[in-house]
Amino acid sequence: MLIRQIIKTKLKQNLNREKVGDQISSFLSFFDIVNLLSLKKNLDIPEKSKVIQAWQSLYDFDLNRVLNSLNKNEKMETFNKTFKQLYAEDYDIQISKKILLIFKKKYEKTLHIYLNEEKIIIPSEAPANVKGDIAYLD
Amino acid sequence: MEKEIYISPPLTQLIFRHMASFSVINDSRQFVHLYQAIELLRVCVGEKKIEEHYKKDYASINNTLISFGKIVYHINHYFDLLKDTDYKNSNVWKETYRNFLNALSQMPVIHTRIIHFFGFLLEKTPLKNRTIPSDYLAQASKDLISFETEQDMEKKSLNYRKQHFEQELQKLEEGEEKKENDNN
Repeated sequence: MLIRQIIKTKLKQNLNREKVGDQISSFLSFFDIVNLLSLKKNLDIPEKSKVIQAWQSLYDFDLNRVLNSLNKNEKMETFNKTFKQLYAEDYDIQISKKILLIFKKKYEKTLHIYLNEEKIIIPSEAPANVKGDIAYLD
Repeated sequence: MEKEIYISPPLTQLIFRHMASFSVINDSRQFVHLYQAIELLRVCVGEKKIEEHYKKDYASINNTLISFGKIVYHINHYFDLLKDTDYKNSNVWKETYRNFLNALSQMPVIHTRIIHFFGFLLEKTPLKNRTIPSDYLAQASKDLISFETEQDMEKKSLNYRKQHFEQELQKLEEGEEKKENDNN
Protein backbone atom coordinates (compact mmCIF):
# COMPACT_ATOMS: atom_id res chain seq x y z
CA MET A 1 0.00 0.00 0.00
CA LEU A 2 2.78 2.39 0.99
CA ILE A 3 5.01 1.58 -1.98
CA ARG A 4 2.05 2.02 -4.30
CA GLN A 5 1.33 5.44 -2.80
CA ILE A 6 4.96 6.49 -3.18
CA ILE A 7 5.01 5.39 -6.85
CA LYS A 8 1.72 7.18 -7.50
CA THR A 9 2.96 10.42 -5.92
CA LYS A 10 6.24 10.22 -7.83
CA LEU A 11 4.43 9.67 -11.10
CA LYS A 12 2.30 12.75 -10.47
CA GLN A 13 5.40 14.77 -9.69
CA ASN A 14 7.14 13.34 -12.73
CA LEU A 15 4.47 14.84 -14.98
CA ASN A 16 4.20 18.10 -13.02
CA ARG A 17 7.93 18.79 -13.16
CA GLU A 18 8.05 17.95 -16.84
CA LYS A 19 5.41 20.59 -17.47
CA VAL A 20 7.50 23.31 -15.82
CA GLY A 21 10.64 22.25 -17.66
CA ASP A 22 12.41 20.64 -14.71
CA GLN A 23 13.94 17.76 -16.64
CA ILE A 24 16.26 16.67 -13.82
CA SER A 25 13.41 16.05 -11.38
CA SER A 26 11.36 14.40 -14.08
CA PHE A 27 14.16 11.97 -14.91
CA LEU A 28 15.15 11.28 -11.31
CA SER A 29 11.57 10.49 -10.30
CA PHE A 30 11.34 8.12 -13.26
CA PHE A 31 14.45 6.24 -12.06
CA ASP A 32 12.95 5.93 -8.60
CA ILE A 33 9.70 4.61 -10.09
CA VAL A 34 11.56 2.05 -12.23
CA ASN A 35 13.31 0.59 -9.20
CA LEU A 36 10.33 0.88 -6.85
CA LEU A 37 8.22 -1.04 -9.34
CA SER A 38 10.57 -4.00 -9.08
CA LEU A 39 9.47 -4.32 -5.43
CA LYS A 40 6.02 -5.16 -6.72
CA LYS A 41 5.40 -8.58 -8.14
CA ASN A 42 5.38 -8.92 -11.94
CA LEU A 43 5.98 -5.25 -12.50
CA ASP A 44 9.64 -5.26 -13.33
CA ILE A 45 10.29 -3.13 -16.40
CA PRO A 46 12.13 -5.32 -18.95
CA GLU A 47 14.44 -2.50 -20.03
CA LYS A 48 15.39 -1.57 -16.46
CA SER A 49 19.11 -2.14 -16.97
CA LYS A 50 19.09 0.01 -20.11
CA VAL A 51 17.37 2.82 -18.20
CA ILE A 52 19.96 2.65 -15.42
CA GLN A 53 22.79 2.62 -17.99
CA ALA A 54 21.39 5.70 -19.71
CA TRP A 55 21.10 7.43 -16.34
CA GLN A 56 24.71 6.65 -15.56
CA SER A 57 26.01 8.04 -18.85
CA LEU A 58 23.95 11.18 -18.35
CA TYR A 59 26.15 12.29 -15.45
CA ASP A 60 29.42 10.46 -16.04
CA PHE A 61 30.33 12.99 -18.67
CA ASP A 62 30.06 16.02 -16.43
CA LEU A 63 32.83 15.44 -13.99
CA ASN A 64 35.46 14.21 -16.43
CA ARG A 65 34.87 17.12 -18.73
CA VAL A 66 34.81 19.62 -15.86
CA LEU A 67 37.99 18.34 -14.26
CA ASN A 68 39.82 18.29 -17.58
CA SER A 69 38.75 21.81 -18.38
CA LEU A 70 39.36 23.31 -14.95
CA ASN A 71 43.06 23.93 -15.47
CA LYS A 72 42.38 26.17 -18.40
CA ASN A 73 42.78 29.84 -17.62
CA GLU A 74 39.32 30.73 -18.66
CA LYS A 75 37.16 33.33 -17.04
CA MET A 76 34.37 31.90 -14.91
CA GLU A 77 31.55 33.04 -17.19
CA THR A 78 33.26 31.80 -20.35
CA PHE A 79 34.07 28.52 -18.68
CA ASN A 80 30.46 28.00 -17.61
CA LYS A 81 29.22 28.84 -21.07
CA THR A 82 31.70 26.49 -22.75
CA PHE A 83 30.84 23.71 -20.33
CA LYS A 84 27.10 24.04 -20.86
CA GLN A 85 27.55 24.17 -24.61
CA LEU A 86 29.78 21.08 -24.60
CA TYR A 87 27.27 19.28 -22.42
CA ALA A 88 24.29 20.21 -24.58
CA GLU A 89 26.02 19.21 -27.79
CA ASP A 90 27.64 15.99 -26.58
CA TYR A 91 26.51 13.02 -28.64
CA ASP A 92 26.40 10.53 -25.72
CA ILE A 93 24.35 12.90 -23.60
CA GLN A 94 21.88 13.51 -26.41
CA ILE A 95 21.52 9.78 -27.04
CA SER A 96 21.05 9.05 -23.31
CA LYS A 97 18.39 11.72 -23.04
CA LYS A 98 16.58 10.39 -26.09
CA ILE A 99 16.67 6.82 -24.76
CA LEU A 100 15.27 7.97 -21.43
CA LEU A 101 12.53 10.01 -23.06
CA ILE A 102 11.50 7.03 -25.17
CA PHE A 103 11.29 4.77 -22.10
CA LYS A 104 9.45 7.40 -20.15
CA LYS A 105 6.82 7.79 -22.87
CA LYS A 106 6.57 4.04 -23.32
CA TYR A 107 5.76 3.33 -19.68
CA GLU A 108 3.82 6.40 -18.59
CA LYS A 109 0.48 5.20 -19.96
CA THR A 110 0.85 1.68 -18.58
CA LEU A 111 1.81 3.09 -15.19
CA HIS A 112 -1.23 5.34 -15.08
CA ILE A 113 -3.49 2.45 -15.88
CA TYR A 114 -1.87 0.28 -13.20
CA LEU A 115 -1.96 2.98 -10.57
CA ASN A 116 -5.54 3.98 -11.25
CA GLU A 117 -6.62 0.33 -11.37
CA GLU A 118 -8.19 0.82 -14.75
CA LYS A 119 -8.51 -1.94 -17.26
CA ILE A 120 -6.64 -1.56 -20.50
CA ILE A 121 -9.28 -1.02 -23.17
CA ILE A 122 -8.54 -2.90 -26.34
CA PRO A 123 -10.83 -1.74 -29.16
CA SER A 124 -12.70 -4.62 -30.74
CA GLU A 125 -12.11 -5.19 -34.39
CA ALA A 126 -14.77 -3.76 -36.68
CA PRO A 127 -16.84 -6.31 -38.60
CA ALA A 128 -16.07 -6.35 -42.28
CA ASN A 129 -19.44 -4.89 -43.27
CA VAL A 130 -19.32 -2.00 -40.82
CA LYS A 131 -17.29 1.01 -41.73
CA GLY A 132 -16.35 4.00 -39.60
CA ASP A 133 -15.81 4.40 -35.88
CA ILE A 134 -19.24 3.26 -34.72
CA ALA A 135 -18.05 -0.34 -34.25
CA TYR A 136 -15.61 0.78 -31.57
CA LEU A 137 -18.20 2.50 -29.43
CA ASP A 138 -19.18 -0.51 -27.35
CA MET B 1 5.03 -16.60 13.59
CA GLU B 2 7.31 -13.58 13.48
CA LYS B 3 6.60 -11.00 16.14
CA GLU B 4 5.46 -7.67 14.72
CA ILE B 5 7.83 -4.77 15.25
CA TYR B 6 6.44 -1.94 17.33
CA ILE B 7 7.18 1.57 16.11
CA SER B 8 6.27 4.41 18.45
CA PRO B 9 3.94 7.14 17.08
CA PRO B 10 6.60 9.92 17.09
CA LEU B 11 9.02 7.70 15.18
CA THR B 12 6.27 6.66 12.74
CA GLN B 13 5.52 10.33 12.19
CA LEU B 14 9.16 11.10 11.50
CA ILE B 15 9.53 8.18 9.06
CA PHE B 16 6.36 9.22 7.21
CA ARG B 17 7.60 12.80 6.95
CA HIS B 18 10.80 11.61 5.29
CA MET B 19 8.81 9.32 3.02
CA ALA B 20 6.54 12.20 2.03
CA SER B 21 9.58 14.25 1.03
CA PHE B 22 11.05 11.25 -0.76
CA SER B 23 7.84 10.97 -2.80
CA VAL B 24 7.30 14.64 -3.56
CA ILE B 25 10.75 16.22 -3.96
CA ASN B 26 12.56 14.69 -6.90
CA ASP B 27 15.44 17.05 -7.61
CA SER B 28 17.90 14.60 -5.95
CA ARG B 29 17.01 15.77 -2.43
CA GLN B 30 14.70 12.76 -2.31
CA PHE B 31 17.83 10.67 -1.72
CA VAL B 32 18.55 12.63 1.45
CA HIS B 33 15.10 11.75 2.78
CA LEU B 34 15.35 8.18 1.58
CA TYR B 35 18.62 7.85 3.50
CA GLN B 36 17.02 9.26 6.66
CA ALA B 37 14.01 6.95 6.32
CA ILE B 38 16.29 3.93 5.79
CA GLU B 39 18.38 4.78 8.84
CA LEU B 40 15.27 5.09 11.03
CA LEU B 41 13.73 1.90 9.66
CA ARG B 42 17.04 0.14 10.20
CA VAL B 43 16.94 0.99 13.88
CA CYS B 44 13.36 -0.30 14.11
CA VAL B 45 14.09 -3.60 12.34
CA GLY B 46 17.36 -4.24 14.13
CA GLU B 47 20.76 -5.39 12.87
CA LYS B 48 20.11 -9.04 13.77
CA LYS B 49 17.25 -9.41 11.30
CA ILE B 50 19.19 -7.60 8.57
CA GLU B 51 22.21 -9.85 9.15
CA GLU B 52 20.01 -12.96 9.05
CA HIS B 53 18.49 -11.87 5.76
CA TYR B 54 21.62 -10.69 3.95
CA LYS B 55 24.01 -13.31 5.43
CA LYS B 56 27.26 -13.09 3.42
CA ASP B 57 26.14 -9.85 1.78
CA TYR B 58 25.69 -8.07 5.11
CA ALA B 59 29.10 -6.35 4.95
CA SER B 60 28.49 -5.43 1.33
CA ILE B 61 25.11 -3.82 2.05
CA ASN B 62 26.75 -1.88 4.87
CA ASN B 63 29.38 -0.57 2.44
CA THR B 64 26.65 0.39 -0.04
CA LEU B 65 24.93 2.36 2.71
CA ILE B 66 28.20 4.12 3.56
CA SER B 67 28.58 5.12 -0.12
CA PHE B 68 24.97 6.27 -0.10
CA GLY B 69 25.70 8.38 2.98
CA LYS B 70 28.58 10.12 1.18
CA ILE B 71 26.36 10.85 -1.84
CA VAL B 72 23.69 12.26 0.44
CA TYR B 73 26.28 14.44 2.18
CA HIS B 74 27.30 16.07 -1.14
CA ILE B 75 23.68 16.58 -2.22
CA ASN B 76 22.88 18.17 1.12
CA HIS B 77 25.95 20.39 0.99
CA TYR B 78 25.12 21.59 -2.52
CA PHE B 79 21.51 22.46 -1.69
CA ASP B 80 22.50 24.13 1.59
CA LEU B 81 24.75 26.54 -0.26
CA LEU B 82 22.42 27.09 -3.19
CA LYS B 83 21.76 30.81 -3.16
CA ASP B 84 19.70 31.14 -6.33
CA THR B 85 16.48 29.22 -6.27
CA ASP B 86 16.92 27.90 -9.78
CA TYR B 87 19.49 25.13 -9.89
CA LYS B 88 19.40 25.13 -13.67
CA ASN B 89 21.83 28.06 -13.49
CA SER B 90 24.34 26.41 -11.18
CA ASN B 91 27.97 27.31 -11.41
CA VAL B 92 30.36 24.55 -12.47
CA TRP B 93 33.21 26.61 -11.09
CA LYS B 94 32.17 25.73 -7.56
CA GLU B 95 33.42 22.55 -5.97
CA THR B 96 30.08 21.86 -4.27
CA TYR B 97 28.40 21.68 -7.67
CA ARG B 98 31.07 19.37 -9.09
CA ASN B 99 30.78 17.14 -6.02
CA PHE B 100 27.03 17.15 -6.49
CA LEU B 101 27.40 16.05 -10.13
CA ASN B 102 29.87 13.40 -9.06
CA ALA B 103 27.41 12.15 -6.42
CA LEU B 104 24.64 11.95 -9.01
CA SER B 105 26.87 9.95 -11.35
CA GLN B 106 27.47 7.39 -8.59
CA MET B 107 23.81 7.08 -7.66
CA PRO B 108 22.70 4.75 -10.49
CA VAL B 109 25.33 2.19 -9.43
CA ILE B 110 23.78 1.67 -6.00
CA HIS B 111 20.21 2.84 -6.56
CA THR B 112 18.64 -0.58 -7.24
CA ARG B 113 20.32 -2.06 -4.17
CA ILE B 114 19.27 0.81 -1.94
CA ILE B 115 15.64 0.63 -3.08
CA HIS B 116 15.59 -3.14 -2.49
CA PHE B 117 17.00 -2.64 0.99
CA PHE B 118 14.34 -0.01 1.63
CA GLY B 119 11.69 -2.48 0.43
CA PHE B 120 13.08 -5.18 2.71
CA LEU B 121 13.01 -2.89 5.75
CA LEU B 122 9.46 -1.77 5.02
CA GLU B 123 8.33 -5.35 4.59
CA LYS B 124 9.48 -6.09 8.14
CA THR B 125 7.46 -3.25 9.68
CA PRO B 126 3.71 -2.62 10.01
CA LEU B 127 4.18 0.62 8.06
CA LYS B 128 3.92 -1.24 4.75
CA ASN B 129 0.14 -1.50 5.20
CA ARG B 130 -0.33 2.17 5.96
CA THR B 131 -0.24 5.32 3.87
CA ILE B 132 1.54 8.65 4.19
CA PRO B 133 -0.89 11.28 5.57
CA SER B 134 -1.88 13.78 2.87
CA ASP B 135 -0.89 16.67 5.18
CA TYR B 136 2.70 15.51 5.10
CA LEU B 137 2.65 15.35 1.30
CA ALA B 138 1.24 18.87 1.11
CA GLN B 139 3.88 20.16 3.53
CA ALA B 140 6.68 18.44 1.60
CA SER B 141 5.55 20.11 -1.62
CA LYS B 142 6.35 23.51 -0.05
CA ASP B 143 10.03 22.62 -0.35
CA LEU B 144 9.82 22.22 -4.12
CA ILE B 145 11.85 24.65 -6.18
CA SER B 146 9.41 26.67 -8.24
CA PHE B 147 10.17 26.78 -11.94
CA GLU B 148 8.53 29.39 -14.06
CA THR B 149 7.33 28.37 -17.47
CA GLU B 150 7.98 30.68 -20.44
CA GLN B 151 4.29 31.57 -20.43
CA ASP B 152 4.47 32.63 -16.77
CA MET B 153 7.51 34.78 -17.47
CA GLU B 154 5.77 36.40 -20.44
CA LYS B 155 2.71 37.12 -18.29
CA LYS B 156 4.92 38.66 -15.61
CA SER B 157 6.70 40.88 -18.11
CA LEU B 158 3.38 42.02 -19.66
CA ASN B 159 1.95 42.76 -16.22
CA TYR B 160 5.03 44.77 -15.33
CA ARG B 161 4.74 46.79 -18.55
CA LYS B 162 1.02 47.31 -17.96
CA GLN B 163 1.69 48.58 -14.43
CA HIS B 164 4.42 50.88 -15.73
CA PHE B 165 2.11 52.43 -18.38
CA GLU B 166 -0.72 52.81 -15.89
CA GLN B 167 1.57 54.68 -13.50
CA GLU B 168 2.83 56.93 -16.32
CA LEU B 169 -0.75 57.65 -17.40
CA GLN B 170 -1.73 58.50 -13.84
CA LYS B 171 1.21 60.89 -13.55
CA LEU B 172 0.24 62.61 -16.82
CA GLU B 173 -3.39 62.94 -15.70
CA GLU B 174 -2.32 64.34 -12.36
CA GLY B 175 -0.01 66.82 -14.13
CA GLU B 176 -2.82 67.97 -16.42
CA GLU B 177 -5.20 68.38 -13.50
CA LYS B 178 -2.59 70.45 -11.68
CA LYS B 179 -2.10 72.66 -14.74
CA GLU B 180 -5.86 73.20 -15.06
CA ASN B 181 -6.10 74.11 -11.38
CA ASP B 182 -3.17 76.53 -11.70
CA ASN B 183 -4.78 78.19 -14.75
CA ASN B 184 -8.06 78.59 -12.92
